[in-house]
Amino acid sequence: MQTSKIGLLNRAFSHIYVEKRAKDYELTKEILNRFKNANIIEIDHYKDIFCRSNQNFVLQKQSPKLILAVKQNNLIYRGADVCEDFGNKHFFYTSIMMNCIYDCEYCYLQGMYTSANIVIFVNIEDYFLEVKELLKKHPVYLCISYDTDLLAFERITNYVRKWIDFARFHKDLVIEIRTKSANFDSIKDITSIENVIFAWTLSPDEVIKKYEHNTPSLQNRLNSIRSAIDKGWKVRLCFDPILYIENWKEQYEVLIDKVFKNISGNKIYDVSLGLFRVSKDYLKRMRKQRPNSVVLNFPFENEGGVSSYNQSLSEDMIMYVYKKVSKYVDKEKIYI
Amino acid sequence: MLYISTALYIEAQEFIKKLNLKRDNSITKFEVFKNEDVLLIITGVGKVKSAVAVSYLLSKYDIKENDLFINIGVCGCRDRNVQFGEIFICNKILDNDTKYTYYPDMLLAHPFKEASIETFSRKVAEEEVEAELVDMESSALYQAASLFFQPHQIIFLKIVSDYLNPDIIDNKHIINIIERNADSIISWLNTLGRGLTTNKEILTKYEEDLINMVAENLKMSTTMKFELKQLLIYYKLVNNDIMEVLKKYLELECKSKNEGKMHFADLKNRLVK
Repeated sequence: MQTSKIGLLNRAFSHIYVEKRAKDYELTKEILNRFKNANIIEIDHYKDIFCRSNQNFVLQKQSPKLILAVKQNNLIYRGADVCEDFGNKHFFYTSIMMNCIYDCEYCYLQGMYTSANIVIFVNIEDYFLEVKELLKKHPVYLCISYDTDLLAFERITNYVRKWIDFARFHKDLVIEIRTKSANFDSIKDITSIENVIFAWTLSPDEVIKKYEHNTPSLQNRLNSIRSAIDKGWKVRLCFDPILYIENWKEQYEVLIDKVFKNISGNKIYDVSLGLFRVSKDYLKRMRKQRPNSVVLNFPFENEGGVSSYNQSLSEDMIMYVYKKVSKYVDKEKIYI
Repeated sequence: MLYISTALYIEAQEFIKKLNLKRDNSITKFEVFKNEDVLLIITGVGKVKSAVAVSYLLSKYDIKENDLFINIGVCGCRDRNVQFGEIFICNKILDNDTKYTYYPDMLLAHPFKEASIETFSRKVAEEEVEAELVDMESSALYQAASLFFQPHQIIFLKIVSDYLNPDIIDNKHIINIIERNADSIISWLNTLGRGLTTNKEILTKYEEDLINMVAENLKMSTTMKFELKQLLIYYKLVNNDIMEVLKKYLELECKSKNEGKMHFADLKNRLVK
């Protein structure tokens, strides 16, 4: 629950912090041109802003700033254990942006980052070079929209379009673009390719309303998904995180029925199911940021440094959702 | 509470008058003025004096999340197109001695222009200055205030008094440019602060005491007590009341830890169904 007065805070992107070395990049110029009324502040390094101590993540979410930077070193990471690799041996992810415009109450980013401001790394060509180097060694499965929502930001960065263009010429590269956005229109003109998967996160309407602040409604996400499938794109549905909420069975049943009323199960590339789970240390910080959050204050159990629902509740929830989804989608396409 | 610092009395006097601040005679080391909502300290000129004064003042109080720290003062300006008396909020603070840079978090909306400011320990020549504005306190004040406030709660409001030639200005000039601007500053200050609350204690002190009592009755370890507290925070967020569910355990006295564990398991089941 937030009591901040609207109007007391600056509008989103009222300030844009620009690293000196990012100034001459084309994307920097485009973004500054787009936000003509923003205050532009030159900085030496994005961490001077992003990593300040004692920032107020929740208030910053209501007045986020943009930080334009050049990322150096470690552009591509190996996938984390808590993330589903969908059977891909060479599973990597990359964060060409950090943070997103949405404000999901359960988001692990508020435990991972000290700031809610949005960093855009403008040197996408350097990311491509590093992926090319990896591709010389082995095929690569790359998630490009984990710590952000690239599609939601497409009208500002064109990054989804650029990654797809890159993937078009690198068949050993498979890209996953995870999103809650209903912004498929921004890329609807692009011809689909086999090695790109759009992964939409779907939640019950009540979860969207209560906990996924500023995100598109379920129906709008479904409309985007339908458009993507119609254009020939591979679409993954992510019921992840599944949350323990009041009447969770009913809520998830309604969700799943609604999803597959709108989208034919056999047109889905695959489905990913996951319960809410987060590093114990992140959870501690998240609770500090949002002490009133029902969803974060559930008495989770900690196993191996990861906090999630206790075993019996976990099994109940995941099996329930699995059974409901498997009414519509082949079981071998469902990943838990 | 609004904590205001100025380097000089003449920078403060208009605010003391208009906000009806009274001298706090319990503080003798610095001049401090206050009313119910505002505390104003005259720090003296320069980095060391200002940091010492602000640290001294702020360490006396329990700073809340809707409190703000505001430094108000005159400053020099490189740009001769800027009029004397023009107000700026600083979005970047450079320390000329250390070359460190500090960034207040620009969350609060305001009606003024913004600029960077550079803090020097001495008189400066124009060609040495990197930032748009110049003063002698901001970088030190930011560092001191950061110990007590989050970066969005720290505000630097500067009024241009000269073009890097402070020797030619006198008290009358300073008083005059502050007088001209005091009303607009005060009317902005009146809009601030009250809406910045995001946190709220879930459990009351009374409820915390009851939890301690139950933990004692059930002979709980520290870990179990922590677990119980988290369960009750969740239960209260969902049901808005924990008294009903705790009642039974307030009068219970377990003879052993094992008995306590059995009751705790029962309580857990009642709390999370």
